[in-house]
Amino acid sequence: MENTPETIVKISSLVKRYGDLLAIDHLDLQINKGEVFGLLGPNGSGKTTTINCLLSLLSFDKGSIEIFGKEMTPTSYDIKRKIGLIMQNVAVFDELTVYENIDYFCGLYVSDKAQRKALVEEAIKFVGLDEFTKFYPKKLSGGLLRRLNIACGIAHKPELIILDEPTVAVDPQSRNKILEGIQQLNREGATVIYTSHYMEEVEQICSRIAILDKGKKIAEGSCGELKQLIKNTETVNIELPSLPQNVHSALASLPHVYEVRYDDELLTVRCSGGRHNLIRILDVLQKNDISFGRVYSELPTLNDVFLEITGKELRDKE
Amino acid sequence: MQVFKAYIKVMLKHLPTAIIYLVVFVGIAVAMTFAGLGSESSVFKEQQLKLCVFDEDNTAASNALAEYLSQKDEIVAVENDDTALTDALYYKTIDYAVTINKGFEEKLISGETDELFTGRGLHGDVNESLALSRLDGYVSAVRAYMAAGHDLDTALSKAQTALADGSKVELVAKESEKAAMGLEPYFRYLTYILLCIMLSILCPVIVILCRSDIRSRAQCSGIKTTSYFLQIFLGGAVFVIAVWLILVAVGLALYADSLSGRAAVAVANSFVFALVAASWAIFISCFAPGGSAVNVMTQIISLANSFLCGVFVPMSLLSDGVLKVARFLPGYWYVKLNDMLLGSSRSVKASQAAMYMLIEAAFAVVPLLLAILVRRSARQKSAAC
Ligand SMILES: Nc1ncnc2c1ncn2[C@@H]1O[C@H](COP(=O)(O)OP(=O)(O)O)[C@@H](O)[C@H]1O
Ligand SMILES: [Mg+2]
Repeated sequence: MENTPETIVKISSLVKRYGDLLAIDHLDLQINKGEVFGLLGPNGSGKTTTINCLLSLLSFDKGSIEIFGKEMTPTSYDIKRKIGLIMQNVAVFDELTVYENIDYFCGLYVSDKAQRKALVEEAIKFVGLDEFTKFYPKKLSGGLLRRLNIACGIAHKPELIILDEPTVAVDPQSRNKILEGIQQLNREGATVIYTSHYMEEVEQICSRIAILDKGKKIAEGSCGELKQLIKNTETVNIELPSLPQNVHSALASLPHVYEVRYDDELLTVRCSGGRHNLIRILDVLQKNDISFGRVYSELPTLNDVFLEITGKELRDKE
Repeated sequence: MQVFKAYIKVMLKHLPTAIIYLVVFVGIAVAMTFAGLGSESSVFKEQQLKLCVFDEDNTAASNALAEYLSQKDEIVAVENDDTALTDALYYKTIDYAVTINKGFEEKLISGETDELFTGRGLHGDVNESLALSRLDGYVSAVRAYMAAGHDLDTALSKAQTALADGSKVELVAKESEKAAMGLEPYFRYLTYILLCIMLSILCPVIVILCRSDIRSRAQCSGIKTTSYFLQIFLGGAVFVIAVWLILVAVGLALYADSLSGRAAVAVANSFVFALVAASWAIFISCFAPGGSAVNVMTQIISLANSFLCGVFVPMSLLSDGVLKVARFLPGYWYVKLNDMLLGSSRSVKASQAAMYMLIEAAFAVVPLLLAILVRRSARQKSAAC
């Protein structure tokens, strides 16, 4: 028998303004127990603002926020004790060692010394900082620093863990370790809210995703559900030295092709549904005697979802 | 007590700076005290003044006085010019300049006492009193011999012999003066060192604990906001009291022989100033200055307060303009009261002492209120904290 899942966080028509700027525009979110919920959006879309409102770090203009079934206010200490926060910026004391930092932040929740010692040691093991307990943050690499930041937020074993872009400026190895860690915490029972502007990460670990743009939720669902929202099923990329206009038109009139773009010697053909798209496209090129370089075909990504809904790329081209 | 403990730990990391300040300061105080003690015996023997004498009368009597002074003291020639004299006094080339006015001999014979000399010294300086008492002593002695029926010439030479070994009493006076001078400058210099230590350590530590990211972590936790600030306050209080206790204890130990009820008031005065320094540190911390900005500000504030308020240079040498500005600094009131309690002026009423300390306390309260205002408006503006 399947119960309706327990709601952990409920945000209803949240509005937040910074002066004239509308940072959050009537946002509704519901996060259930046991989920890894992803909040995906480009820089400046309002992810951090949403988190700050959620935690009562920031006052908001309209709407309501409930956590664990109770209204969240700045003095809801019983709710706060069950939350762990990992912020976008590494927030640790440069003057304290790795161990002392984790002990301090854990101590804001757990006052019993023996209990805290066990928790701190477990957190250190969890993030793999065993060899660095006596190090000062200044001596840690970016990836290790991020792991320390995470350990400080989760040592007290929160039921709800909120991570705001925890992998910014992190090497791939540390990033994988962090993502695995989050999944493990989730398996151990924690509900996770994860914000990022990297779609790959969100795709990899989140069971449900909300896409934000300019403070508005533009789509929500599992990764698969989101991809079904759009017509794109396949994107074919072909490296070409040149593309005559008549070939361009021939490609555009193929069945299932809905967009043909050519720039920087790269031909991009977007298709919706159907099979054998790639073969048909190559056929057109061969018939027109056009030589081509590398050919590759991509399945839709969350970037395509974002692109189709907003008309922009998710990530600024670097 | 997590926040309090972290506060102390962060503080301990900044402690080397404080220890350097303390060691240098106490070291200099000890060195100066013992250097003074070592030369004390020779000071008694010689206790010469460096005088500059202008004889405008040029009579037998004035020449005899000049002769007497040159035996007792060291005569230094300085140009009879206002600037030259001020410079000479300031740089201690001379302790006192005396002009024997025209008509000195006539007045001496006729028994007139007004305007025999025109003197110039540092107002309130010990040397000025010494020089004046020396001149007075000489004149009274000559008068006494003349009253006893001697003629001027005999009176002049008798007075000179009689005064030749009459310095014992002055030496005793000088000795007690000497001891009090140890405690007075020590407590005066406390203003500088207290400002340095509070600004360079308390300020950055508060900045760290109120950093918005670290604050928001605490704000998201189960710890109450009031408890958080209370613990920060407690940590600051422990630091301020510890630093103050060490400094006062060293001062009292070094100059234990000159303790009195006045010294107790001076100790209270220094505590009020420690609070002032702490409150300034709290105020500056609101603007979250970086490490080097803190150092620059520490030096500017502590040096300005010291120089404008007569900590390093006696107030008697400061111009009226400077002293007017100094009234708006806590050091002015501190140094004035300290001087009344331990220094040369030695006159103070309880009500006056209380008022001066209250004025100083105002310099602690105002920055605290401003700090609360600044923090509140910053919190309304910024995202977190
Ligand atoms: N304290 C602030 N004052 C004014 N505007 C802000 C403030 N914080 C964020 N913003 C603006 O609000 C929008 C959302 O910011 P943010 O929530 O930080 O986005 P994200 O975390 O998704 O990158 C941005 O346009 C940003 O410039
Ligand atoms: Mg952000």
